[in-house]
Amino acid sequence: MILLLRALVRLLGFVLLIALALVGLGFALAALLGDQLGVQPEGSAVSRWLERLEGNDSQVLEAVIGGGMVLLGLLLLIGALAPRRERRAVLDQGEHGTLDARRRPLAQMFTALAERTRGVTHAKAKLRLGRRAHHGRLVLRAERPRTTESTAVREAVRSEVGELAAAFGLKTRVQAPLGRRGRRVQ
Amino acid sequence: MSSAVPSAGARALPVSSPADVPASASVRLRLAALARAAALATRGVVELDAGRAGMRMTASEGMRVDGVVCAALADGRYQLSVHLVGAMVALRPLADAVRARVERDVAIAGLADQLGPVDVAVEDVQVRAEARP
Repeated sequence: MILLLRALVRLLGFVLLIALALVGLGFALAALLGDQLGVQPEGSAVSRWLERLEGNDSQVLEAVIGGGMVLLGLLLLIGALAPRRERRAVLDQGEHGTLDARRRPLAQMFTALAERTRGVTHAKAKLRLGRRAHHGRLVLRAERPRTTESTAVREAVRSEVGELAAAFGLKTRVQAPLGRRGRRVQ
Repeated sequence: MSSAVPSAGARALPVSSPADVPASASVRLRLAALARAAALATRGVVELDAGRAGMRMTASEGMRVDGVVCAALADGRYQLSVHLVGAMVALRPLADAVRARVERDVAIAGLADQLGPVDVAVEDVQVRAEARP
């Protein structure tokens, strides 16, 4: 029931926003191409207000209102597009309960594991979690010295993090570029 | 982190031990206090985390248990969510250890039939070079 109501609210909100956008577009077209479209906005309240805007008087109030509307629009966009719940990496889900972890500490763990791998001078893990449990992508950047082969480092890092990544259902990609000068091998 | 000032239930007295909770207190609060103590006593758990806004907690009767959310289920039992900061250890054994300890302590307190699933949420890890998962 709640799901149905939420869907209804979303649909109505979407329809109302489109209606508002169309009304705004209509006003804009009437102001710009009123003569060609046969619309006579002269003498209307909108027309008088637009004339006042074109005048030399101070328009601080209009500027503040305009800026406020832009800000409100941005906030509404963020509110509409931002995910409501933080995505979490789920390791176990069952009758006994769920075991999950936030993205940041998990990325820290992968970074720490990669940095402990022989031949890695510096590592950084980037983790993107999917909408569903046990779906995500892990990109590990493990820097290496010139004396170490890229393939060897990639394999070593992959074997170090593979088990944990597989437990979370993460697709893993390991990059092993040359490290910066001054960074020491683990 | 639990050091953050909680916004919800801020006036409630934080519970540091199940002994702080009277026997007359609600089952929800007693379970949360037991779970908090059990989790903190588990090896690999550094601390519990109530979140930035302090919303991950159980509050009742002027007291609050930070880092544990206890919610009633339809079948009359209670679901516990333990939000922890862990050491750099394997997560599955850590969660199993937390659950086992919670179940044991809850059984000792005579509330075993009230206990539902125990969720373990890893909110942060303390990475140390000498530890190995």
